[in-house]
Amino acid sequence: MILTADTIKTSERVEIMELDPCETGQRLAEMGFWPGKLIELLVSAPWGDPMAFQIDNTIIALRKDEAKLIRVRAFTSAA
Amino acid sequence: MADENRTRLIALSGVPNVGKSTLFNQLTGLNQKVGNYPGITVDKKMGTMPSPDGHQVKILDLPGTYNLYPRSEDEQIVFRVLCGLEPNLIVDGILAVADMSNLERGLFLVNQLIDLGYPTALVLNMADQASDQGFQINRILLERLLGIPVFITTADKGQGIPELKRFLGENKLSKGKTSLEMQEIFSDALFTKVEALTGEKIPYRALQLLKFRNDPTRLDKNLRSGLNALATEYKFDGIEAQRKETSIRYERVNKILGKCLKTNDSEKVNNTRRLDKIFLNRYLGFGIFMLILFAMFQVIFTWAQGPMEWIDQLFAMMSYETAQHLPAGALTDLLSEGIIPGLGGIVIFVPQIALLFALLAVLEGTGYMARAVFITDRMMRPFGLNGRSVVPLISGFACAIPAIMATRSISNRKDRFITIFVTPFMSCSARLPVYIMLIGLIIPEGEGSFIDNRGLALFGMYLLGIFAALASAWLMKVLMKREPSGSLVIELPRYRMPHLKTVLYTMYEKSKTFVVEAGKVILAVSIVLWVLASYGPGDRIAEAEASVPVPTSQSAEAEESYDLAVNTKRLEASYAGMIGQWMEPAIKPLGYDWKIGIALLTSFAAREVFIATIATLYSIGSEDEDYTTLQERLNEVRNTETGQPFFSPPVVWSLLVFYAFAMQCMSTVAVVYRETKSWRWPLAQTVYMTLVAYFSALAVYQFLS
Repeated sequence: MILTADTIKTSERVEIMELDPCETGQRLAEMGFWPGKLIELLVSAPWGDPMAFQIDNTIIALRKDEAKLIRVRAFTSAA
Repeated sequence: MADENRTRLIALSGVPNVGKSTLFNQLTGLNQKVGNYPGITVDKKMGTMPSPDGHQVKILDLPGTYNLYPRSEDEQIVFRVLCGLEPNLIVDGILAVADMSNLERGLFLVNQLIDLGYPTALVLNMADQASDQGFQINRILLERLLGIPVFITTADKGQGIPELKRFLGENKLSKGKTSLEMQEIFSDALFTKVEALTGEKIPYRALQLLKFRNDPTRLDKNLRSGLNALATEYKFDGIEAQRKETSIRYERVNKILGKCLKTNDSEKVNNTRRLDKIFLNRYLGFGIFMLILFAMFQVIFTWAQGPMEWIDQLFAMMSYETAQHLPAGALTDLLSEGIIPGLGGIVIFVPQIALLFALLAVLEGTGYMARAVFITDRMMRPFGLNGRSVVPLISGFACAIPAIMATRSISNRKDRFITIFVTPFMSCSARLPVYIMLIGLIIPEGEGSFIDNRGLALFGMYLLGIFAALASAWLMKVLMKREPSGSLVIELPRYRMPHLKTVLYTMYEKSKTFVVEAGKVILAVSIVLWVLASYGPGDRIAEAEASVPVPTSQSAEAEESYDLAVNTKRLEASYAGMIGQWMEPAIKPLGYDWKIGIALLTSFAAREVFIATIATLYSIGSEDEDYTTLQERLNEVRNTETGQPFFSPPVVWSLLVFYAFAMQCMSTVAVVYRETKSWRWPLAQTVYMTLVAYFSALAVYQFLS
């Protein structure tokens, strides 16, 4: 099932499927939000916005509006 | 060709949070200069590095960017410099910096930089943390795959710096292996045409120009229309080209990393995640943020006070000595009463600026600053501000000047300008003496009661300032609807110890920038104000002085009251006095007379001057600390028409509200000019604030009286 990153729960890990083709979406791609990568929601600020995601070895905070541009799917570890 | 003897210029480039500034400071030490790029508010940081073998190398610290796409002002600068569009900044080579534990993203930029065709070298920084986290890199293999020299450093501990300096002195940067063949993106035919049009022989630079021809990179108009014609002719799709480029580069970077990077599977950023559990906690986080701010505020208030008093005394002494030792005359007066106090009025801000920027550099250096933005972003949004506006706004409680200088970190133009526009509403420390003096006039000291009424009134004034700032921000947001709001994509860097040298350089650099750049305007305005207050048309001043009866007794007391009376008469007869009388009809509805008009005029230099002017006008020495003499004397002043006390509650409240809202600070005007690079903003701001102040004071006076 395809979700967007703004809907995931804290500590949930998901896999990026694709990014919205708009300019901000492309910008996120260039910052490391690349299809196939895993992201984890570390914490969201009061009122649930912005949200801090861990991607690789970096923590990047996005507003909900930007997180919406990232389409993800639930990740189940093979192990 | 490049002159062999010319000092080479190396550009330092990398993504944000890789320790680039620390590296720059390590390489150049104090041999750095901050300038401006034409037409843009990004600081141009240049430094000279003496290499061990006696060569000098110039180093340009480019702003940190994630890629070479010119969207924000920071990115535009990197784009313009590296595509050869800044004729005064011809770069001879690039030193790319990447965080060793975040190589994928870092190498993406490096990959682009190499394709620009400059001789390049790569620094893998923060090696200590990377090895703690189990990263192992095969440096030799990486050098071979990229085709450029690779260095490993831990800049904040100085590790690897001497080797790097020696290398830069020897000029052994090399052009790397082109990663992206341009045929993958655009055709030879198109490239030949673009080359002919732009004169750009390096394919990737030509592609960049073509791709971003319509972005705000200030390309020449003819060039832009030429490029647009070519793009149409060849059906060139910039967005598609960019997506393709991004995808190809990712693939190649990962291929390289797969060969030379080893990492164990241990959890990364563990400590940071643990600390964030506390600092970003939904409930605790905000309290911690407030505590940190409160501590900062306390430090600025208390630590700056001493040095500010010394500066004040030093300049007072210099004025006095000048007047004593130089022959009396207009020139000496200009020096001792105009220029020296004017300079003093500039230098007095330095302790606050230095302290605020030291604290901000510590917050930045530890990685907390990004967290503060994170926590506060949501609640600032309804007002057209974002999380990055919070720290400047709150710094405005100490002083609007460093606060406005701190808005540099707001990358979105609209958000930044709104923040600059509303920051002077925050009740700065210069308003405090005015508030205390005025409140003391109308509210008796509370005795034994739990809440001090004076304190309550003071608190109310602070709330009023916050309210005005937020309301104005909201208004600006509505007015500037057409400009796009920024998105917030911000990296929360790993927590680190701040680097002391970087903190010190920040203090030094910000203070210097203020003194040199804003200082000119402040000095000019203070001289004008001094002339207005000391000279009058024809013999008016001399006549006014003569009108005071010379004391018959020779006692010190009589002399002093004679001097005070002469000063009063002189000020009344000066141009400032005339302007005060001329504007009396305008300020009468606010409850003010022409004497207050004079004080409003002179206190445009700085708010606290209001007290000194009032003291002069009512022939009172203003030395005593808690203003009791001044207040007693002012309470005796009668309204000439009604015979009632002149400084009645309606008049005083009206004045309080006026000082809460009016600009009344030429240093702020000067700094806004410097930060926005145009007179439009500071003028609009001054007019707006003065109008708000005028009508609010009018309403208050009319309502209360």
